[in-house]
Amino acid sequence: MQASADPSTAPLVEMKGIVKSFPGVRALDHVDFSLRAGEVHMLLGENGAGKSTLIKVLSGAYTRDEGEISIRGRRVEIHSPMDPLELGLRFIYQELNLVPQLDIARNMFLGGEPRSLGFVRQRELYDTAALYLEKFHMNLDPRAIVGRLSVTQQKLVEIARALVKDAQVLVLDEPTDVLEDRSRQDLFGVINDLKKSHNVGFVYISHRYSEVHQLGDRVTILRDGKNAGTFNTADITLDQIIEKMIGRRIEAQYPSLGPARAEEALRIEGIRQKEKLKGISLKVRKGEIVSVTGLMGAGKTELGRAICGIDPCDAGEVYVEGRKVRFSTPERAIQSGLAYLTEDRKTLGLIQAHSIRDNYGLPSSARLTRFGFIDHGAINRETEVFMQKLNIKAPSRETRAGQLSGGNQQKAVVAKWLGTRSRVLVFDEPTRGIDIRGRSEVYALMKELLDQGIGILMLTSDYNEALEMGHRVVVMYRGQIVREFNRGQATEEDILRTAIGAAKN
Amino acid sequence: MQAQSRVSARSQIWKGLQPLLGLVFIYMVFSVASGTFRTIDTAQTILTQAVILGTLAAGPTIVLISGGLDLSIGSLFVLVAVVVGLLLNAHVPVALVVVLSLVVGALCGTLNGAITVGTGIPAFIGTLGMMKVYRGIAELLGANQDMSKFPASFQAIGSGYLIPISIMAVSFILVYVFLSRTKMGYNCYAIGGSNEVSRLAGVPVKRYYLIYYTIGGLFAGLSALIQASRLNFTNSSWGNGLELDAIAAVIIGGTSLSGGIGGIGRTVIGVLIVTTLNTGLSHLGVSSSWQRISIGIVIVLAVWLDVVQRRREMGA
Repeated sequence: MQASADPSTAPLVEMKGIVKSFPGVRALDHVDFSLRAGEVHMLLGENGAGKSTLIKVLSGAYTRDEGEISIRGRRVEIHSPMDPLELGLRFIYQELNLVPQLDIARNMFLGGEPRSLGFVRQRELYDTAALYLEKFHMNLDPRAIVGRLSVTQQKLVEIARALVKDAQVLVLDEPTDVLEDRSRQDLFGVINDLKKSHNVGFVYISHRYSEVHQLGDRVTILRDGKNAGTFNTADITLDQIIEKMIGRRIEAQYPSLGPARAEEALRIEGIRQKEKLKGISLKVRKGEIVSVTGLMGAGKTELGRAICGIDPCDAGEVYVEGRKVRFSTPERAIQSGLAYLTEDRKTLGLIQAHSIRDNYGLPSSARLTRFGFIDHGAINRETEVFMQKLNIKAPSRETRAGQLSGGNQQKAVVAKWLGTRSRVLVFDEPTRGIDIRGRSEVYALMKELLDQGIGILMLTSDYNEALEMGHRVVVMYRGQIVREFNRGQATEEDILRTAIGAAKN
Repeated sequence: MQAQSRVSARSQIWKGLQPLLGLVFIYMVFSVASGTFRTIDTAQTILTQAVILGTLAAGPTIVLISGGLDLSIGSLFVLVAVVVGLLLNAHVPVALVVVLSLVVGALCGTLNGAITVGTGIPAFIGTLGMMKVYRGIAELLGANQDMSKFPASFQAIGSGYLIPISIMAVSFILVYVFLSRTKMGYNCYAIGGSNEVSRLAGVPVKRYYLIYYTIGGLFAGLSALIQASRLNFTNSSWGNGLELDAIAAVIIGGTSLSGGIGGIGRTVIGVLIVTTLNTGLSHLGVSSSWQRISIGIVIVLAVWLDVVQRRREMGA
């Protein structure tokens, strides 16, 4: 094996003209991608650009429609998740994939323990594990219980486990998203070491664009399912990368927003929550949308949940239409006219097995109860009214929520919260997972809400949405508001640059 | 999409009817097989036999719909029975005995709820522990006590057909009204469907769980009261495995063990299926061991049918 990458030899992985379509979307459109031995290849792109689809084609989770995949110059067919494992490919996903109750050695050899006559050779297990950990320069005790390790250490164990099985290619999906700065440096150290000493090739997906130049040898940028270019990281600046990522896209139709009213709908002051929220203050007027954006982990969802009484916070005050809210429980927040529309509609927004009617009635049941008895007639009537008003397409109010399309589910969630007579809606990722037509409908609905004098706080990681649907855009970075833009004052590039912490105020 | 949903709505109704059809089928089989089975008298016997299991099962119906589980109600049943016997031995007025025994049942239920909600111990473990505790207390209290020959006014509660069947019927109606008309009962389904969605929607999930478990305890107490009155004695060895019989009846009726789906109507049918099976097999002279085996098979079949249908629905 050669000591360093040689571009003239066949690449470790070569993907050519990969096409993958889903009903209504072409997720990958003739994408080329290659990985050399001993390099770290960064894979960048916005949400929905096709990064994870490409990786899933490689891992066998999806079958490609067209294109070729070669490993070390040999054409291969990848049909099942087992195939890439046999070819020496390993995938390390964002969520940890270890058994927390077992120690490091047993995790490293899980399923492939050294055995004789069916008995595990304990000594050999631990000795080999120790040997590998030393070889990879990981300062870890093979008998340490994985669940008690830090997240970084657990990541290292996952990498070690992959390499024990002689992996030549490691695909890391946003590995540092959960890591602190110092631990990231530890991880980078191990990666740099492994690519040099063991000639391993890394595909590295990240939202932290600052890592591109710190760690990457090459970078491939995906945009709308196409390869927008592959570069040596030395030859491209962060600004150029951002420009490539954004390009021009087909967008949902945005309605034109009217002016906000003068009265205040929501005011929050100095919200603090441990390390996650470091003193957030902002105001939303009636008929106004304030977009809060930032990278994953910047604290958007935490902010929404804190002000709606879902998670406790350490300090801060919330006012709805000028009245102070005791936001200690969701119950209180709802009574004060606040509603949190979760980003996770499937598990937190609707009870999938229950009807539209029952989902609608859930938060309103307190309002629609007289002397302890539920007014079912009223729930039925109101459900019908909202289904008509919000144009929810379903055969009847008894249709189960799980049978609705993404756009209609979101409308059902909105209906559910309008039923509580909310004055302020906190929308967390209002259009995530919704197709373009559904998006346009959700936007139109938001505009209607504004006309009724409702204030909207929109938490979104879609910068285009933040700009087009917000009267103002607030950018968060690591639990703080770093900058506020007025409508029409900023471009997507400005926001992205602020969000990654690259721009100083 | 429209047509598809209409089909699924129809299949929902069909699914709800299945236990009822099962009951009718079982009843008809026994009617054909045994000449003495097809009488008003036998029907009355079945209903009376159903009273203890029926009033007891009203509790787990609510608890299971909410996504909870209470394994201690069989022990709670015997604890209340012993308390009733002791109070009556001490010549406490009958009316007061009735009230006190229901209060004891309810409070023990509250304690179960507090343990599972307050500590976060899984309901299975928490109530398994309490099952041992209540039975132990019942044994201590009831040791070397002759608890029998109760006053006539107490015996009236459970004797004959009319009064016990009426008590059961009223219990079912109350639970029906609770589940379908009150906020607390209506929210029970949502809590069972998803704790977190309900919490986010402002439902006081923990407080409601306390109430559901309390109601479960209350019905265990009521059921014990009827049994003590009917048999005119109490014994601290009663109620072994009764909690599982009650849960089985609820499940056979079609209430989901994982919560969010079910109803008292289904429990009524589940209880009647179990009781009809037992009574019918007795009529045919089948031993109690074989009765048990057949109930076991019915449980497995009923849930299997449910699983198969749900899987097919997911596939569609």
